[in-house]
Amino acid sequence: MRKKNQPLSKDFRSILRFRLALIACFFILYGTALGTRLFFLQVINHDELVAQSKEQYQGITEIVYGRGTIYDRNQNELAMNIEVESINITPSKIIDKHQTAKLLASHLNLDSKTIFTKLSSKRPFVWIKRKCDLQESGKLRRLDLPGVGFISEQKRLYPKRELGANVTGFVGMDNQGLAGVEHFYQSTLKGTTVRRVIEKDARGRNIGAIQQTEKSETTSKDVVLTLDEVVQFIAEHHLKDQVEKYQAKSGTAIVMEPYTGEILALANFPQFNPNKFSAYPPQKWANPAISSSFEPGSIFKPIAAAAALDSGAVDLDDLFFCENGKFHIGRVPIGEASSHRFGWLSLQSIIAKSSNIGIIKIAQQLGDQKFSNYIRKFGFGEKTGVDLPGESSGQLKDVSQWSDLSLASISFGHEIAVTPIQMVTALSAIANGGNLMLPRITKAVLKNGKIVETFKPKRIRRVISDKTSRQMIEVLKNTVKNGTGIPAALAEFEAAGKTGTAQKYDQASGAYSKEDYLASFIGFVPADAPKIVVLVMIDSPRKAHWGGEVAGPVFRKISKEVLRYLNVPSKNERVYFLNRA
Amino acid sequence: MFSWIRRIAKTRVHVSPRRFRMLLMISILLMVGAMGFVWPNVKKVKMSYEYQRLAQEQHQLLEENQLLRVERASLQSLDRIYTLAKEHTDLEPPKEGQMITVFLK
Repeated sequence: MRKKNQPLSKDFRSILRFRLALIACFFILYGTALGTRLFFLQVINHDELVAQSKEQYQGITEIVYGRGTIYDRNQNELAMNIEVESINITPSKIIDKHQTAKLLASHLNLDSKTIFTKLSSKRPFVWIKRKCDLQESGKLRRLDLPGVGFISEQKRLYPKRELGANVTGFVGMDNQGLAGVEHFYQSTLKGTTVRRVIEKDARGRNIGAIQQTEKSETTSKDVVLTLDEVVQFIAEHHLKDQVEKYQAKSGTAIVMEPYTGEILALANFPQFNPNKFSAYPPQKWANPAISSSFEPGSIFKPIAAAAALDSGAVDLDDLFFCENGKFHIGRVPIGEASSHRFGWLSLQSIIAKSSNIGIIKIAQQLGDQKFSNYIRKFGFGEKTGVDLPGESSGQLKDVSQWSDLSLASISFGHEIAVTPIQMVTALSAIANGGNLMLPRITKAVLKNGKIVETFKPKRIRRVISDKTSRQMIEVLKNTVKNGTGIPAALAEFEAAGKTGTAQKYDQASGAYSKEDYLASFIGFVPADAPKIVVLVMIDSPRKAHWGGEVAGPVFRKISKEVLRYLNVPSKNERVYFLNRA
Repeated sequence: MFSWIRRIAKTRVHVSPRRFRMLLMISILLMVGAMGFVWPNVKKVKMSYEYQRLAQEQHQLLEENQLLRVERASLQSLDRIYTLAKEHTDLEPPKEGQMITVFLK
């Protein structure tokens, strides 16, 4: 051992110096490398690395405020959402493509070849199936296949299936409204997705509370319809029965509140299920009650009669000679339905017996110009403004284009095309004292369960006087009591209405068909204090074609059940008034 | 050349007991301060995990609730009720005279 304070040997010093120099060099080199690296990281790659680090400790979470619910007037859900999963793949991450394709095909009920083609794609993201059933996605999730991803999405569901499908409409794959209320109120109903940045830990778990979003800006709104689920069901049920019974092509029924214009039911048959609308031909998606126009036939006669009475051109007790069923305008012969031969008839009887010649005589008293003005005042020839998409304005020629025959033809519902909604709105004006109301399908808009917008009844204009309205109610009561409308009469309530049997125009032959008729009935109950106006139209029925016979019973059944549902006591019913106190 | 290294190596730090205690106190205070700073953050992270768990649970419950609402709405379908009433329980609409309307004032 070396003694204390003994000077170091020369060799040892040089070795020590060499080692120290080596260490110093190492530190210098290390420091330089570190500095260079830091320069690269902090200066050259700064932005890229900041972005990378953000990606690692920050995540984006999506808060989905789904599409708004559609309710009936009693807040029963007609359209709502459920959360489902969509399956996607990242083809580059899939190792065994054949096996994955086979498994996906068997679990999702798809063609394995199609899936294999998708798996072979070079794209980074490929959809396999959107909006799967919960069971499908659940089974697939358990398989934990590499490269197969799941994305939560909202799926629109119509729990009442066919009920009111033509009104509610349906949505596309990306929840965009395609038809009906879904389309018309797209901006109100559409959901919102809010993205929030949150912190993540090293294992990718979210840390830090998601900042609450302003409810007023984000949540979607719900729409409350004027439709009543029960009334809609009643209308659809009886319409379907009758269309099937008479092997008709189609049918339409509308139930409206005459004083408010609110539509309680708007039924069409055949129906479709909006949950799988693509399985039906597009023709079935339409809403013929507002988008199709037709020659109304005799249900238009009350319009002519009301116009004549209101203008003072005729009086209720005036008698008209109905030419014993043989009448000519120019060279065109005009007869009565079923070759009836009527002589002198009052206005009441003309409507009750549905005399074509009689109503022509009444319209002639009125004149072209006045008659045309009244038709337009009743809302024909223009859209009613109902809040549904695809409304037709019908067809009404300008009076300057009317031929010598036009006045006569239009008076009994030919040479004019009207939509069912126009017809029911016009008769509501006769029933409610003369006011043309704006037909409505939406009652209110809700946000977080609270009403934010209401649609109050809107009067468009006065069409006829209150006196004329009361006179017409008597005329139409008589039609149901003693005229063609007897099959529509109710034992419990007094009804007022008019039958219609219009020959359909055959485009192919260029003449009116001898087989295809439009059987219809329009009326209101209770006649003296109308609660509902009901229009029933059945297109091309077989076995029978008269409006009274085919459409009348549907009116009767719908009216009876709806009034019972609306707690309107019948004249034969015992009624008690109980004082809560 | 490396005399400065040698100088550092030969340096001795002499701390008096008083100074040592002071340094110890400062160290403890610094540690407590650091703990005070870190602790709320640790607590925050733990609470975040709990929040996330509860949010997940809430989401699942809402999903379940939504499914139940759909099921209820489907079961309340009038078409289904009508068929059940008519075919399974032989229910019929009340006849004339079987109904009494009561209005409450």
